[in-house]
This record gives sequence, structure tokens and C-alpha cells, in this order.
Amino acid sequence: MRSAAPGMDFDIIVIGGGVNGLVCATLLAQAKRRVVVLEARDRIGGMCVSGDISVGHRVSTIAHLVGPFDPAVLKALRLQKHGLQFTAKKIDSVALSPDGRHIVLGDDLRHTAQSLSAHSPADAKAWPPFETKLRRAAQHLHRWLHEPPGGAFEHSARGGFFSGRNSARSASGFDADFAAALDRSIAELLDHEFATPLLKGAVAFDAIIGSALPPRAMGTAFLAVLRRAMEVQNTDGHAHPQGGAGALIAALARAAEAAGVQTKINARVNHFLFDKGHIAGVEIASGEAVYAPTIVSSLDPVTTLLALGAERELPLGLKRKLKGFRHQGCLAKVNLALGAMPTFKGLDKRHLKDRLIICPSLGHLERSFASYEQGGFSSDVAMEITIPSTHDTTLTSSGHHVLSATVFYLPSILATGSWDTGKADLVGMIGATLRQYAPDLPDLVLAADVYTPADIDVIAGGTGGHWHGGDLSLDQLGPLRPAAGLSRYATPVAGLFLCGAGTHPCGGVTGINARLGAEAVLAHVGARP
Amino acid sequence: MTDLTTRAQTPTPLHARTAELCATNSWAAQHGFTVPNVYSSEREELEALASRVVLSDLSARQCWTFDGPDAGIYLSFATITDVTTLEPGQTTRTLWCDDQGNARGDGTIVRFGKDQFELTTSVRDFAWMLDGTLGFEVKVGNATGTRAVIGVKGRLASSLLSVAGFTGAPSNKGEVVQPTWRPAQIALMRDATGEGYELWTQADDGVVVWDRLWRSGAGLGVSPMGAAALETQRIENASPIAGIDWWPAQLSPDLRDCRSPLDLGFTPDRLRCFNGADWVARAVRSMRLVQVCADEAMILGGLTARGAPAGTVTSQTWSESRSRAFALAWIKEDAAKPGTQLMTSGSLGPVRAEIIRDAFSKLPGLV
Repeated sequence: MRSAAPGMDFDIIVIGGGVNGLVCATLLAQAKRRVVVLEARDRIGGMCVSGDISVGHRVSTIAHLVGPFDPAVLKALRLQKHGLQFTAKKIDSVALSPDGRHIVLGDDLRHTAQSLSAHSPADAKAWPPFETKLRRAAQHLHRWLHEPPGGAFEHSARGGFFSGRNSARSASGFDADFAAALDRSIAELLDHEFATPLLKGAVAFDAIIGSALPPRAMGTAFLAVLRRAMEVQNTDGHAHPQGGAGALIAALARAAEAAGVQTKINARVNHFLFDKGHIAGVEIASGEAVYAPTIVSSLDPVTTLLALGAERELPLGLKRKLKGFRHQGCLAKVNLALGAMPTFKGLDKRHLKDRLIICPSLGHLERSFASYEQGGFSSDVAMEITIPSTHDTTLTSSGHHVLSATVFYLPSILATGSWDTGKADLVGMIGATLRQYAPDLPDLVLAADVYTPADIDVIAGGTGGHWHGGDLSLDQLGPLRPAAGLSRYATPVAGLFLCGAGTHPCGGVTGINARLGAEAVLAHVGARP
Repeated sequence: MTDLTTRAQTPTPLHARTAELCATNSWAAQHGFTVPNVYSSEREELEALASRVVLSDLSARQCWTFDGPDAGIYLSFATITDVTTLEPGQTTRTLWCDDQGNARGDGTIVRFGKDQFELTTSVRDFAWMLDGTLGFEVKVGNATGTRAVIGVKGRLASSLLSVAGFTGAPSNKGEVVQPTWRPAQIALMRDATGEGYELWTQADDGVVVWDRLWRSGAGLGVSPMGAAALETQRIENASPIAGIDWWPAQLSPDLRDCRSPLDLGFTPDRLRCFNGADWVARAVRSMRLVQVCADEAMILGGLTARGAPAGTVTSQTWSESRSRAFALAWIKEDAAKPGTQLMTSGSLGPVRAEIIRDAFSKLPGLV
């Protein structure tokens, strides 16, 4: 254990200058604490940064959609006042079909049913009640997401959600039998309700994207509800900030500065400093010591607790659980600079601003997962595409566009070969896949950037490069996220807290983790009057 | 060498000798090893124990090594015992807990050097100890199967050690000796019953030490004792065993079956920081493992006190030498006083039993 001098520079150190780090720091500073944010890289933002693919082609480098942002955070930080503007809100999803019979998955159930009727009238009829059930379950789950695990709500609902006992009473119209089915796999749930492969592929993709879980993994049906629960009471839904994800960070940085937060870049934390068993600060890469009696880490919990010198302070069982926390990344990001707008077969122009999902079937996902498990990737990778330049004119010069693709089930390390050569193969394969939907698209590509899970890991400053900070599965959610006994943001190390995506409720650009983490810190140290 | 040598699927380092002596060809599976169950007859072996001296193969145990500058600090955190206070050569009984203060295992720790410890146990929990080392400069190795452990018990046990060239009976904390007749380190300590001794050696030295004791004990009537007699003797001596008399937390079928160190008769230093200490400090002893005796044989099952359910029998045996039945049983704390009359079941009907003492009560070397 490294000891620290007793003099303290700050009240609180926040490690990591991503969304969660900045939100948490600002909330703590608003409570009249002296806060410093330490960012390892040469700029803040973490996974929310904007960058140039080539000159005149700007894009959200990693995360390309924001939200659904925690309304409480938006209100507290007044981000609009600090310059945050969205060029697209409540973005719908469109399941692309090679033959142009796309399915629109949006708020409007009739619209979805209408697009689905071209595939199966029976599915078109079954969709509205199915989606309604999911949304009612999401209504029920919503409150749980916005509270620390183990709160009064959870105690009242424990054992009741899946069995539907309490839920049937508490939410009007809640289908208890349906809730009981949510511990099954998303594939099983969808197979039971629908026949259209494209619909099943897209809904399953939406549920499990980012987690290294196959569509037939138990509990993945619950993730479909979790996704919808994040959107409850949020009028913006998934949104695109003008200027890309980096614009959100710029607004957060201004809010942080206004609250008095100091920020240090190029300040990678080497290890914690301790004073008589209590956290007392950190030593950063330059060798400088930064002192504070409280530290909040927005890094992933495994890095925070097992790689920065706190290991000796942890109970043995907790160390074992953390070692078993699944946080290996399985997403890559591919950004393309395009010379013109591609023509998607049969896609109405108004949907070019939406999320375009390429996942033709459950079998497609399963084959992709099988390749991932073998340490490779196949032509069956699934994708989520946005073309933000359709509504954000600040990103490209006239006539040009940028396409941002999140590519699902890709390993951090290739079993054969390396990503140095694998990136070109991936771009070629993605081009070939996109050609099926937009035949002219590959010929319009001017430049491409590829970020593998390993690259994302470096940017995120964690281990594994996981999109959500750790798999979203029933054994890693709620009171078990990141581990039993560690889900309420405080750690066994006196003075050390968590606020990153690896904590409750889950990943995503939402700010909820940060708000709950900040509340836990203030509950311990108290706000100044 | 007879063909018996090859019959044991997982022989211990002493198998070459014990197989020659196992005239009944009766073997017992024990913690992943095969050991003689009965050498001649259980009665004869217990008579030898009562009147002379016996040797036993106790090598069927897990053995983990801890080496490195943080070995003592780590073991003192991982277990309830501050092993940094041990002098090299000393031993201690200990147990370790999960994060909630429930006992996961018990065993014996020997300090061989400043940064060198060994822990032997009947509980297979190596991964737990290994995973916990993150952050400590300690290397944990699994030496199971590479240590020979010889039990020396009986009225003449001390005499046998003297005759064999050891300097006499070790203190309660044990010692590590290096005899003149073999350039090997031998850990010599009291056994778990407090009435016998254990000698730990490297596997290669095991047969040499066994032979030395066997030859030296010829004039004392030394004979071997198998697993069946050892089981009888351990119940007579109120020495419980994990997995039989109490559930290690990681194997426990129900949270209610988990036991705190207090339940098991250990009183850890509540001011010291060890894994699960916060929970142990708050624990209240609700059950007590005791030894009971009766005039008739008992069977495993419930016990009542004044007509009300009071506990459960976990091990039982009939002692030929004392013509009494002995058992270990979990009893509610408020009914666990020595002398308390209980009712339990025997094969022929109800049996009246009486609490004699706490289990673990004679354990030596509790630090």
C-alpha cells in the first residue's frame, strides 16, 4: 500500500473525463465540493468524441447516439444553456431488407404494423400488443433504473417482476404471464410470437447489442424491456447532438467549468495513495500526486478495483467476483466518409436520419456469435448505421456525407492474424454487406476509420473495451452489477466510489450511473450548505 | 512389493508401505486419495492405540504453499489467524471465511521460514486462496500429493518419537526439525485431537521417516491404524471434520447451514482485519457443535431436549474400548451446556444421551 501525505488538494477526485465522469464531477461540484477530473488521454470525452475521418468529414468517433439522457441530469446541468443542441431526436429504427421491404420500428405502432404487413399480416397484427406489453413492463422497470439497487422499490418488487405477482397489482394492464417470460431468451420470446425473420433479427439485435451474448442466452428477453425502460419519460429518446457526440462533451465541460470543476488531461492514474487504510489520493503518470479523501472512478470496476492498487483492501470473494465480471468488448466502430448520399433500396428519404439495422434474422446473429466465439468474424456481422450528415450540416461539406456503423460481434483479439490486417478485411466485408442494401455505397467511400474493441478499450481507458462497461445479463444487472455487495457505488475501500458504465443500471450515454454515484458520494461525505 | 500397490487409484506418498501392511485389502476414498481403511481389524487397531502406539497415513489432504514477502500478511488476512506472530517452525490451527464471515474451511498452517508457509486441510478450496492473492506479493502453489503426513498416536507416542531420534514431544505450537539421520525438514506438531502427533515431510522423505518410526517402534509394539479406526477415534476425541460435521460455506446447501467461526468454537480477535471480520464481529453464536455420549448406539438424526427439537447428530460411533456410543451434534446454544440430557434415535428405538463437551475443545495451538 502506498501512503499519502495528509494535506489534501481537493475534496473529490473523479477519474475519467467521459460522460459519467463529467456529470458526476459537476453534480459534486454543484454540492460545493472542490472537484478535479483526471483524464488519461489528451482530451476529455472518453467514448463520446467527434473526430475527422478525413478533411471535411466529421463524425462521432465511437458512440454515435446520445441518450436517452437522464432528465434529472439534463435539468441539473442545464446543458442546453451550455450549448447542447440536437439535430435529431426520438430517432426511430429501421430494419433494412435487401429487397427494400424495410420494417420501421418506431414509437408509432400502426406505422410498424403497416411496414410489417408486407412480410406477414399475422405479424403485423401481433406486433402492437407485443410491443405494448414490452412498454408496460418497461414502465414498471423504469423506476428501478433510476434508483440505487436494493432500494425500497426493489424490496417491494423482489421476486415479483418475473413472477408478476407485485407487478400485476402495481402497473395497470401489466401482463404477469408476459413478465414471467422475460427470463427466457429473446429468440425464444420472438419465435413464440412472430414468423418474420427480419423482425426477429432486428428486435433481438436491439436487445443484445453490445453484450457478448447470443440471442438464445437466458434472460436476453429482459434486455428488450431494459432498453425500452431507459426511454420512459424521456422525450428526446436517442438523439444526435449537433456536431456529434463531442458536442455533448463540450457542453458537459462548460457545465463542469461553471460549477467549478478543474480538469487535468494527460493525467492517467498510476495507482491510488492511501493514508492508514483510507484512500488519500492518486499518483498520475507524470509522477505527480493529487490528494483528496474521496475518489470516484468512472473507469470500469475491474480496472478501478483490481489494477490501481486497491486489491489488498478487497475481500477475497469480491476479488473473485470481479475477476469473473464479463466485460470483454464485442463491438467495432466503422466510420465512412462518402462522396455523396448512397441510395438505399426502397428506403424513404425521411428514414435516412434513423438508425438503420442490418440483421436479417436470428440465425444471422447466431452465426455471427459463433464466429465471435472462435475469435473471428464472418460476413454475418450485424450493424447499426446512422448517417448523421443528413440532418447535421456541420459534419461535412456540401454534398458529402458520413456513415457511422456499429458492427456487432467482433473479438478484441483475432484468433488468426491481427487487426492490423483484419481492419481492411472488415471494411471490405462491410462494403460488400452494404452493397446488398445500397448498391452504390461502396463506390462512394472516400475514407474509412475502424475502431476495434481493442481500440475502443484504449479510448475508454478500461479493460476489454466493452460498449456497456460489462455484459448486460441477468447475473450482471441490478444488485449484481458489477458484483454483489458493490452495486451501490461505494466500495469496500474507504473513500473510493464507482460511477461508470459498469455500475447500475447499465451502459449507454445516459448519465444515470453518474447521478446515482454522485448521490452515493454525497450521502457519505455530505453536501456543503 | 505386492500387487496391492497398484490397486489404489490415487496413492499417497506412503502407499508403498501402507499397501504392504493392509492385509484386509480394505481401502477408503478420502479427499481424492485412497488410503487403507482397515489394516487388520478395527478393534485390534483401537486396542493398539489405547495400549501402545500406532502409525497412520494422514497424507490424504490438500496442501497449499505460500511463498513471498507478503505470505504472512496475506494468510493473516485470508484466515482468521494472525500467522505473522508464528516463529519459523511453529504451527497453528485456523479457519478461513467468505466475505460474509461464514467458514469455508479449516486446516493447519506451518511456518517454515520468514516468507514460507504451508496450509493443509481436508477442504478443496485452492482456487479461493489463489484468486485472493491479487495485490499481494505471494506465490500460492498447490502441493497436494507431494507431502507425506504420518500420524503418531497412542499411549507410547512420545516414547516412539524419542526412540526414533526426535528430541521429544513438540510444544503446542509445534516445531520444524531436521534430524541427523535424514537431511530433511520435518514439521512436528500435535494433531487435531491434541493427543497425538503429526509429522509432515516432503513426499520423497515420507517412506524414509515411516521406516524409521516403524523400525524404532518395533520394541514398543507399533502397528498401523486405518481410516475406520481414525474415524472412530476422531469422534471419541470430539474432533469435527468439514463436509461431515459442518458445511463449508461454498458447499452449503442452504444459507442457514453456514457456520461462523464462533459456531465452530473459534474466537477470532475482533479487532483484527481479516476476510469477513466485519460480519464475524457482528455474529451471534446460535448453535454449538458438541460431543454427546449414550449407552446405546445412536444414528444420524434429530435430538430433543425436554421434548423440544434441540439439534442434529452429524457423526456417530460406538467405542469398543469405552463401551459407549459417541456422537457429534449441533445443539441450540441455550441447550448446549455439558450435562444436558437429550433424547435421540438408535437403531432399536429412542436413546437417552448427554452432552459431554464442546467439539474443538481440545484443539491445540489456537493463536
